[in-house]
Amino acid sequence: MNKIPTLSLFVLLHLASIFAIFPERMIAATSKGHWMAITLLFAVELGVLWFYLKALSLAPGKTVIDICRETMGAWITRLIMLPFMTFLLIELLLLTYYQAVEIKAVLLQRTPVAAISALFVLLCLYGAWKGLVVMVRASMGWIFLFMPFILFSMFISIKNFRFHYIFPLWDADLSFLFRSDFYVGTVIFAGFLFLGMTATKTKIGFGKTAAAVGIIYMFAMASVYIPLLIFGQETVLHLQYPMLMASDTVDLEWVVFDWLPSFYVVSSSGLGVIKVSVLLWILVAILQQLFAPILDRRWILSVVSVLLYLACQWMPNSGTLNSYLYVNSYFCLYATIGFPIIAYFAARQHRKKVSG
Amino acid sequence: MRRGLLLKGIVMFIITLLLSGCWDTKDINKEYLPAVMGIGKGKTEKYRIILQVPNASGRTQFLEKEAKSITKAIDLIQTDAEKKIVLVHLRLLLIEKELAEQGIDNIVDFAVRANDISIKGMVAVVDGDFEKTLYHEISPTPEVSSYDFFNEEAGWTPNQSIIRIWEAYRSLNSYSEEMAIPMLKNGEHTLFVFKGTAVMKEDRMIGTLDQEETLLYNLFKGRYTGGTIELARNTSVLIENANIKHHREWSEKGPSLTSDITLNVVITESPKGVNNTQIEKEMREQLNRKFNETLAKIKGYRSDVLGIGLLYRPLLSEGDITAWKSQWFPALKQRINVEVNVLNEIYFKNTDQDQNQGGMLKSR
Repeated sequence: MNKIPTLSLFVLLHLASIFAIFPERMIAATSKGHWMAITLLFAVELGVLWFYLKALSLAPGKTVIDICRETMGAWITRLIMLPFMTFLLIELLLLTYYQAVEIKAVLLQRTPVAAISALFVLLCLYGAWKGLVVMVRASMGWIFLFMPFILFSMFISIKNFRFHYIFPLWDADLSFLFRSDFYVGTVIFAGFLFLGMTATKTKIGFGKTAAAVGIIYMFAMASVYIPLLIFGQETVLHLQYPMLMASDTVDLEWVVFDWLPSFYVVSSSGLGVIKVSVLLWILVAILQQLFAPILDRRWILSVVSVLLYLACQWMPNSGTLNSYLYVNSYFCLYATIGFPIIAYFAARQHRKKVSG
Repeated sequence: MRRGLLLKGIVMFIITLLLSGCWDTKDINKEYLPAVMGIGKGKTEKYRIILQVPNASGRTQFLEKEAKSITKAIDLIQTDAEKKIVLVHLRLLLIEKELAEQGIDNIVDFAVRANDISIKGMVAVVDGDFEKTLYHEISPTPEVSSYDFFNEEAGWTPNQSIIRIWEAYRSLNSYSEEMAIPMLKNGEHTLFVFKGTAVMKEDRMIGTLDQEETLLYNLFKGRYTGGTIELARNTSVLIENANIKHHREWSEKGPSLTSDITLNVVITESPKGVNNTQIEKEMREQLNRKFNETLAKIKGYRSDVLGIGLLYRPLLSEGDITAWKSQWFPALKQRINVEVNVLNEIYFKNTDQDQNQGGMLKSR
């Protein structure tokens, strides 16, 4: 795997959540000083990322699953991976449903969710079928396709800012720590998990990754503060898709951009496709390596995709989506914070074993 | 070879599947695309909805129904109409004054919630005969649209207030500002005549500002491009730009705000014999008086239509922000000082400063 495409996939996977669930949850998590919540999240991510990359560099050429299996045995690894896989499953389901509902609400109002999610899952199946290496390469194309639209719709809305809505800036008692919405925001971390899932000799340095996190941090801040400065906290709380509404406030006479939200939805669901494909690929890789080494990866993938599609049809409404997001935040915290630390200690053990 | 054929076959198959998704699509020539929606008080029901649908020949078609809710009224119009009604191109909501006085919360909420109406649309209050204004049509000129009346890229001037649906929605929810909605009635040779600004408190209309006061309102808000101010004795000036500095103070008794407004103007019309210093002085006095009169009027309405709550947001705690409209705004002491700076007289030299050049000057 090449370095730059890997990093660009890393950025895109984070952006996928930034343009889906993240801004709405950050706004719900606190009524003041949103930057503190965002900064804390990213500081935690940097820490966890350090553990994860360190684990990988201690055992070059191995995946995190290999590391765990070789130090702790197959059964304990399976046990460790179970909540991780639960997280991936629920996250996949929620993302697919969320994207399908968003596309239906904005672009295809008369099309049933069943049809939209069928197409969506099909695209993701194709991505995961081709494998991670292909997706890493495709991510460069994704950047060229979608970033201009995203940047354009972000910058053009500056015209409508009311900067005074930025206040109050300081949240002295860190109230967001006690809100479950804040922890839902940790789904954004899921973007770095793929780094440890392929056996590769190329080392991805912490410095470059940290720089990528820096870029993502800017986007995360923008995604929360653009709708906040346009509508104000009191109003933006009511909105399901704050960024989308923010891009709808821009009134330009040029006909092509008459309706910016459609561009926004296309870009954000494009990012959704790549995120779902990668997570799907990770899930299938774990399933195959730990539970069914004799089966072909593609068979498992097809079965999982069909299950994903069926589960998507079973979701009754967005209220269920919401409650599952809360449940999933526990699994998410484990998978994105607990798991990398476990992997780090396993990798240290592994190194002792090999050298000793 | 065979594999390639199979792949092509699958792709073709998927394309037919996708295409069949268009089974319920309605062609654009089978759709009515209203540009203006009038929401009035019904004779028998709560709402009376009038839709203006421009057609290809340049004329306007009118559709009307009454019902207890807006959606139901549109549904009833749909029942009798020959085509499907699609609201995606709706750009102007006209609300009857009587309805605005009772509250527009429901209307704004409907417009934001309905995902076919663009939240960029404008809102205005009809001050005058609602029916006449809505059924008003000027000779068929396809390029004149009612939306251009407010369009900042077309016919808008700082004499008019302007508000979009999303701004109205923001004001309804905000702790720190109230909205001002433009008032219109039907014109004689133009589509509309601007009548002034409706001052809202929460979702109810409680007062009005006339056209001159609207200009000052816009000046305070920083929307001045192209504004013209007329003084006595044939003098009029064009505002090039305005600098507004707010000095906020906060004491036990409440907030007090002094705003220094510096206007950079150019003289567009001036009688001879009046020099620039005189014009500056006259204008300063006139604007100071007008501004503070307007402030007193707005204060009388007890509505923070100037959005002063926003200016105080940096100083306030969360609790004080929520108490702004009820507790702090009524206690606000506000003053405006206007300074005027004449930039130039466009193509004329300023002759009254340099007396030496005035040797041959003919006095008129």
